[in-house]
Amino acid sequence: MGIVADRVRSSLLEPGGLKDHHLWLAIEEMMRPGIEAADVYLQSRVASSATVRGGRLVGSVVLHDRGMGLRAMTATGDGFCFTQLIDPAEMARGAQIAGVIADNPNGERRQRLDKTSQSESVTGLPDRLVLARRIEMMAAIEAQAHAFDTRVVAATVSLTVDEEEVLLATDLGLLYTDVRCFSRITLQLGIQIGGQTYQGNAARGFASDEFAFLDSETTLALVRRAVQAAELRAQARPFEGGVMSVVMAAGWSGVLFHEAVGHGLEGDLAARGISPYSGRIGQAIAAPGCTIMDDGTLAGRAGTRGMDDEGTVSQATTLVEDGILKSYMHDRRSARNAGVAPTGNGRRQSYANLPMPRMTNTYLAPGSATPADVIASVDRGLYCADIGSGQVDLVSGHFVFGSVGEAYAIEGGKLTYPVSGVRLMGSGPQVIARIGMVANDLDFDSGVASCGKSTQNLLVGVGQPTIRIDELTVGGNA
Amino acid sequence: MSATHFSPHDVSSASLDQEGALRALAAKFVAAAKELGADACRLTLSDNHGMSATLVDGYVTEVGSGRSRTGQLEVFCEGRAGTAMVAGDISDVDSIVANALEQSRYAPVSNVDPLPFPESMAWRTADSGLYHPADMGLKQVMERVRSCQRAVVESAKPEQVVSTRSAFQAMTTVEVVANSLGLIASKSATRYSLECDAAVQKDGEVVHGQWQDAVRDLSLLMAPEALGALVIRRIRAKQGANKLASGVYRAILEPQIATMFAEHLIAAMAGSLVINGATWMAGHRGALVAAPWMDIDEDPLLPGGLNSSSYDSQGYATSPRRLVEAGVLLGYLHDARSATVMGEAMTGHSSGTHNIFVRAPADRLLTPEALLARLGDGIVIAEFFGVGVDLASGTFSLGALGRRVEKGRIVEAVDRFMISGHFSSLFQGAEAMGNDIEQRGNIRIGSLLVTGLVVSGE
Repeated sequence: MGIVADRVRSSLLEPGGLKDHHLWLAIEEMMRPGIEAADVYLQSRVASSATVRGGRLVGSVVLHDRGMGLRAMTATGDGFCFTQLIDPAEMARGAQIAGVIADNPNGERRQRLDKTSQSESVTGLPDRLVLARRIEMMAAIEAQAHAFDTRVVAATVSLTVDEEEVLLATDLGLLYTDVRCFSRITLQLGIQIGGQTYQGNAARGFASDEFAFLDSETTLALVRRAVQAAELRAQARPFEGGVMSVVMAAGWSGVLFHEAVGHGLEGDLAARGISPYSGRIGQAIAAPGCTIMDDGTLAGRAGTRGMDDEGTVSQATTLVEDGILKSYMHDRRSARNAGVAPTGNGRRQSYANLPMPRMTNTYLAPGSATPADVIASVDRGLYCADIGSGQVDLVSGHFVFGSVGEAYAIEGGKLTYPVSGVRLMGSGPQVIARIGMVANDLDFDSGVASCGKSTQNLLVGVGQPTIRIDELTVGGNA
Repeated sequence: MSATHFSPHDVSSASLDQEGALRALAAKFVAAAKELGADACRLTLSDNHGMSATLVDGYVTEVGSGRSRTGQLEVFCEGRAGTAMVAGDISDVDSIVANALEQSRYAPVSNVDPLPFPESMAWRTADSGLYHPADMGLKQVMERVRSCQRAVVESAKPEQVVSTRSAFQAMTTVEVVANSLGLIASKSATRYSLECDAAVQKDGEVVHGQWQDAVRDLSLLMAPEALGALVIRRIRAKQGANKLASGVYRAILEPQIATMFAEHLIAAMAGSLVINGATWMAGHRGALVAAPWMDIDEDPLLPGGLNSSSYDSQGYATSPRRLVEAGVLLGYLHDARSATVMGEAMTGHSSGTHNIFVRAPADRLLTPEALLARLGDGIVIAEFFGVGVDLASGTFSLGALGRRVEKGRIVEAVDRFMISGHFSSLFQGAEAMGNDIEQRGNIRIGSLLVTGLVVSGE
């Protein structure tokens, strides 16, 4: 038995008097005739946030949350019960409720595999820093911002730390334990230029063990980024919109693919026939040279896990290769219905939610051009360094990125001036068919991406190299 | 709940006993906080039972139930404040109090009264008729979602339904707010909802539509057959959409769209945003923020209202009030802190607003047909997507779709365009309101005829 498993058992099972055999009993109870699979998911979470301004704590809160979800899966649906009482009686009651879904009393009763296996991973170690130390670190970043630029008139530093312990038991005899931790630091500041204050912010997320050893060079980069964002706001000029070539910078811009393409490649939507990419495996859906991956194994990324929340080992899945649709992202159910193996994308927000196909770290693979080549190829267009946030209609793939954070006009193949208030609009299928150039500088978001689907929010990673999209609609303000 | 019945007894079990137990627990928290060193405290506790069933393309895809308990405790110790939240075991009183006190150790000292305006607290609460338990078995729940899907398939004929999903949810909530001044206010409430979405194929084009209804009393929930048919009507109105040219348009915002805009108009009145310089409404007291014919009222005590409550999340009493009269902003909506900072009376808005009514005089309140005739040439906005709302500047920028109107008649569906503008000019430029008042949710408003809507087409 591993250290992680010991720790998670003592935290999740022992306080309520639970032993491993209670997990297997619950699964046996759920595996009625007509039930194809079953699992028990226990989770304990401590989420804390703190905000420092003027060198002092101005707000802090800590949330303790724990509970368990029991699921019985038929060919078409799930019986489910979640509860925050974790003891043998409640587990047995939850298993009975989840078993309600069984709709084939004459069906064969499939037995749980007798042979059990155990697996464990550590996605991030809690930093275990006391609040006082966290405040000290945040105050140091605030001081660094004031020292970096005397125009900084106000700076606020926020830190959120999310620690989780997870235990999953499945009908396949698997007992998986995971300790997860992710933290995010945000700097918001204002700089005074010409009597006016302009706001800028920067954020970074990481596993907490990295946070504990955050060096001044890393925090300086955060400060520099926030000051630069504020300066650009001061200099930005109106921009005339229209249909034009748009160059998207490497890294965070990958969120556009996440929203406008990635969701349409999730196995549940594809199976319902309501994704623009339904039934198109083997067909060209993107420009040649365009390869899109989902990879839950990338070290240190927000969407990385040892296993997904159904016990499938994380993997790298090629979704689109050289423009051809190769695979959807699957959980156990969508994989079963599609007749393929699960791809490790069965994820859930918490014990109170059912798993569903979700992205992990999704990115567009690099090409061969240089970023400079890509910019030089545009006579008149827009360069988006920071795309802001957006939303997509999952069925049509139409998206709007409402307020591009940092953008520049491109004139004669050169960046000429920062622009303000521009928006991007289009559809996923249209965008991936119109990728005209892909650079070699693949980069990822700085650990700040999260994704919502059916009221469940998850951490994800997004990435891309610098690319050029031809004929994209830009909403301007000139 | 048994394995053979869905969860009728869970849903109807929010009894006086349960509310009494939660009130007793709240009293324990207050006593423990005092004992462990807090000078004052404030807390909320809630206990929620829910059940749900989802049907996709004729198959049950989810059926089950859940129970969640949450608590939030704020302690004040020698002028320092600390907060702890918990989901799960809310009965571990000492540990939760200790967590909150730990947070307070590092907070700055404040000389502000932690529990101000005691005279405005909800020492008496009113029963707004929010608790309507229903005894439903799995069979009845499934029949409801199946009826909805049958209506979708029948209404869509001869077109093909690519996929449809319907879901029913029932929820019972028991909630207590308490503080160290001796306040304990509580309520029990039920909520039932039915939602449906569908995708229909016509001429190779797949169009998606959805609708939902939510009520406190199950007998008032929209009939599943009507809801399914409505989803198809909304899909039909979107089929064969064309692009829309950029320009400045007169437009009718359908009630659910007008609701979204009104929500943001009212959200900008929050005193908490005013004191942080985060709303365009700062400095607008006494100024025109909507059309001169428009009044906006709030009625927190509306019987059976989805947002009815006689107290807010900090335990202050709510009361009916006028927010906007003849288009003029009458004042800001305060939580305890913003009222203190601005030196104004507490208004009971720590948890937002409760049942908003946008009112129009008879000569501005038109039937949907008359509203279309008055529009003449323009567009109807039926859906939006995107998150482009900035309360600080009062601007919005959203993806939208709807219908184009010529001479008061709908001529075609339009999509793939963006609408942008300022909340103030949008509401000040409103010409008239429809009598098709949206009854769901927090805002009662009809279709709104507005002018000067900036459209960026593809």
